[in-house]
Parts: sequence; structure tokens; C-alpha cells
Amino acid sequence: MSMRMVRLAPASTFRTLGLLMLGLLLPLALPAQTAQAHGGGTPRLTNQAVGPYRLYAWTEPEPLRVGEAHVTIAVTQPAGADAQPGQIETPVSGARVLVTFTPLDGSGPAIEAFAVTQQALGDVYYETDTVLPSEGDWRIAIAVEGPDGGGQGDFAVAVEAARQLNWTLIGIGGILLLGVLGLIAARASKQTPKTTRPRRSQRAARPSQQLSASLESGGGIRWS
Amino acid sequence: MHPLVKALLSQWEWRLEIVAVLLTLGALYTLGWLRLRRQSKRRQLASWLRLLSYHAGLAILAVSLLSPIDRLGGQLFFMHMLQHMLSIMLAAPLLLLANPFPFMVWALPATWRLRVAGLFARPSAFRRALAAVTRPFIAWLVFLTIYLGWHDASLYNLALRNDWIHDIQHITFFGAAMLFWWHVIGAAPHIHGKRSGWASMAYLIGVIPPNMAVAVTIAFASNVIYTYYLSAPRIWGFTALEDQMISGAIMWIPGSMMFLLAALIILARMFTSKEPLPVKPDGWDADDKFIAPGLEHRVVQNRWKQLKAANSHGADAS
Repeated sequence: MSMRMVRLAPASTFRTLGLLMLGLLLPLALPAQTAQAHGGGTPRLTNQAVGPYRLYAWTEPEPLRVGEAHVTIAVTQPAGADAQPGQIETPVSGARVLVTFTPLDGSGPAIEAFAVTQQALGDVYYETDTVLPSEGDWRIAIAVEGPDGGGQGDFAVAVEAARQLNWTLIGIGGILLLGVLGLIAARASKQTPKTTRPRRSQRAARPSQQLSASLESGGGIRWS
Repeated sequence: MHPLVKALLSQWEWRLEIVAVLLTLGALYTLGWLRLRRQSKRRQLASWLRLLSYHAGLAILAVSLLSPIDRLGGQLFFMHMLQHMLSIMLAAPLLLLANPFPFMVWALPATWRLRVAGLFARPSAFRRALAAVTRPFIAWLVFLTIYLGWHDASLYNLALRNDWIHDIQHITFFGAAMLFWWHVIGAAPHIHGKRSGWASMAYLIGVIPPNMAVAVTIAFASNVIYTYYLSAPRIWGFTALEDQMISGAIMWIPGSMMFLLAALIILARMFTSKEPLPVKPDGWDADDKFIAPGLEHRVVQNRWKQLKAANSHGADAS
């Protein structure tokens, strides 16, 4: 069998590639940030009258746990004469939105945070992050001060204990998955017809040798 | 400016975990493409069109997951539907048209390359197992179950409330789409053998009726099915019901059109194919090949008749 030598890139290429991969994959090791949440969250207040405004609020994650929590708020007004067709409400930007997290069991002090508008979606939503230190019932109050007046809305949430990974369950799941895959592989291998082992002189090259030749010539494995 | 247009033109969210994956895939493909282009003489495999197709697929994924479409998907159902259509109907086929497998393998160091290629070599158990679990009917069923199953109202609402379920929804949509289109496009690795064009067409057209049934149900529902969207402020110029109707229409028309378009392309390729006709074996039209059982004597009679006729013609001529 003729073997054409594969021209490999120099070792430095692999080092560069390795570093590139490492650099690109580093962000994956960072802890998940709820501020990057994109689903919307759990609706807590919907179309609630707060002074001259309507208030909407969503929280993330679901359920809320001890640790980081994210609150998204929309402040709207009934659409005026300058509204676009079909627009029932218009967003209020430039309001001062204060969010207060209070533990209902009195286990600690209240936490205050200002929600600020985000660039995403054109300054429509106010958002804030906080760290909830203890589990139990909490009240989240949202105070809005805008050009046309102010008001306050609130809601209660149950905060659960921080999540612990259930390694036993993950292990059992992994073993079951491996078992199913093994079963499928075993069944598939049984279905292939058995062939008589050829004499040593008649035997073809080892699969790895065939592969290296295939990869060079583009044959063997059909690539395209 | 309309608030929706303004929102669509607003800032992108550069989610690091997505950017990292997209950049890694793009870098790997490009590296493999460069190496294969250097190796290959004909350069048909590592063509510019394939490189373009792969990066276009990644760009569409980026638009779908990083642009304001992603955030708007939590406020407007039709934006969420559009996001899913982009990844299922455009990004997945474009990525597969680029035939990514050989390029990804060639991006690896030589020893890894051989190991990975070894997994897909004909006698390998991995290949047989993979072929068994990804055979066309299973792929078709998995795609349909995931694609339509996620449109169950409670599952959909759950995905909108939970970020990680939302991520699972997107990953499973995309994974199922890759599996589905793999059989249609016929990208490497080729572990399932060749399928006829008619079978591929049936595979594609078979998705249209269930897709249409779900889409029509969504489009013509008289109440809001996905109640999560009732919690969104009506600042975008659509009521929740209008939003739902538009979503159903997107799923129904462009969604079904993609399957139909792919089926038509396969049909056109079947008719314009330059593959030679199968060679007929010698003597395929001999009399004895057409004998019905019990009528063998007729062949002998016919031969006698033909011989007789030939003799009489010969006698006349002389």
C-alpha cells in the first residue's frame, strides 16, 4: 500500500490553536450571571396601577434561591396621542426606580438597590441584581418616581436554600445512559454478519493504517 | 420610529458562553478548511462556498441568540418563533451544507484526527451504534417530537420562566434540527448508506402535515394559549392575540415552505441527475425470461413458427 506523507502544521500552530481554544472556552468557566438572563423571568406584577403609571415586574431565577437574584421592571403609561398604531401603552424612561428586598421573618436588614435602564431593547426595562442572604419569605417593594409623579408596588416571594448538586442522581443517570448506549452498541454489533478470518497473507492493513491512507487520499471514508 | 424597530436596532447582548462556542466552532472549521485546501488537489471539498455557508450558519445563530431578537422573544411570541425558525430552518441546513465533519476532524492534531476518524471507520462499534440510534426514521421522529412537543403551552411557559429550561429548549431544537437535516443534506459522516430521492422527499413532506396542524391551531386560536405573554406590557404595538396569530402564521407558512423547498430541490436534482442508467444484463429480453409458468410450450411453438416463416421467406426469395 502506498502511503503519501501527510504534511502537518508545525507544533507552534497546535500550541496557538490550543491557547486560542483555552481563551475562548475560559468564559464558560465563569459563574453564570443572572444579569445575562434572556428568558424574561417569572412575572410577579402585571399591569399594576402605581400612581399615574402601570408597573410590571419579573424575577429570576425560578425559584429564587439564596444567592444572586435579578429583577426586571417595566414602567408604562397609557398610550397618548403620539403612540404608534396598535400601541396600548408607552414605556416611561427616565424614572427613578428603587427596589427594596425585606426578609419577612426579620432575620436581617432590608436591602435596597436602584434599578437602571439597560441598553438592550432601547431603554425600556429597568433591571437590578442583588444577593439574597437567607431563605424564607421576602417582600420586594418597587418605588417609582417619574416625571408625572410616583407610586409603589410590592409582592412577596419565597426564597429557597442554595442549590446543592445531587451527585448521586447525576451518577445514576450517567450510568443508566451509558448502559443504554452499551446495549444499543451490543445489539448493533450482533447484527453484522460474521466473516471467516482471512489468512495472514490475505489480510488487509490494520484499520488505523487504512485510515491514515484514507485521510490522505480523501477516500475510504466518504467526506463529501 | 416604531418601538419594535427601535428595539431591534438596539444593543446586542454578548453572552460569553455563546460567543465562545460560536468563535471556537468558526475557528476550528476555518483551520480544518485551510488544511484540507492545502492537502486537496481538486479543492472541491474545501470550496469557498462551503466556508461561506458555514460562517453564514454561525452568523445566523449569532443573530438568533445574541441580537435583540432573543430578549424580545420573552416579550413577543412571534419574535420567539422567528428566533426558533432562524436556528432550525436556516442555521442548521447552512451549517450542514458546509459538510463540517471532515473540516472539524482536520482541525485536530494528527493523532486525535486518527482517533476520531477511527470511531467512524466501518468496523467500529461506535459507528454501528451511532448509525443504529440515528437512523432516518428515528431522526424524523425525534425532530417532530421535539419541534412540536415544545409547543405544548405548559412546557413553553415553563421555558420562558426558567432561563436554563429556555437554554435546553434552544439546544434541543437545534440538535434535533441538525439531526433531521443531516439525513436530507447527506453531510458526512455517511454511516447510513444511500437513500433514494423519493425516500428523502417523503421524509421531508411527512413533517409538513403535523407542523401545519400545530401552526394552524396556534394561528386560529380564539384565546391566548401561551399565557406567559399576557404578562408583557403592550408597548410593542400588538395585542397578545395578534402576536399569537402572527406566530402561528410564521410557523405555518415559512416553516412548511422550508420543508417543501428542500423536497423540490431534491426532486429537481433527481430529474437533472447525470448518473448513468443501470446496465441491463445480456439477454434480459430473451423469450424464456418472459414465460409465465405453465406456458413454456408456447415458446417452443413460437420458435417453430418463426423458423417456418423464415424458411418460407427464404424459399419465396429463391
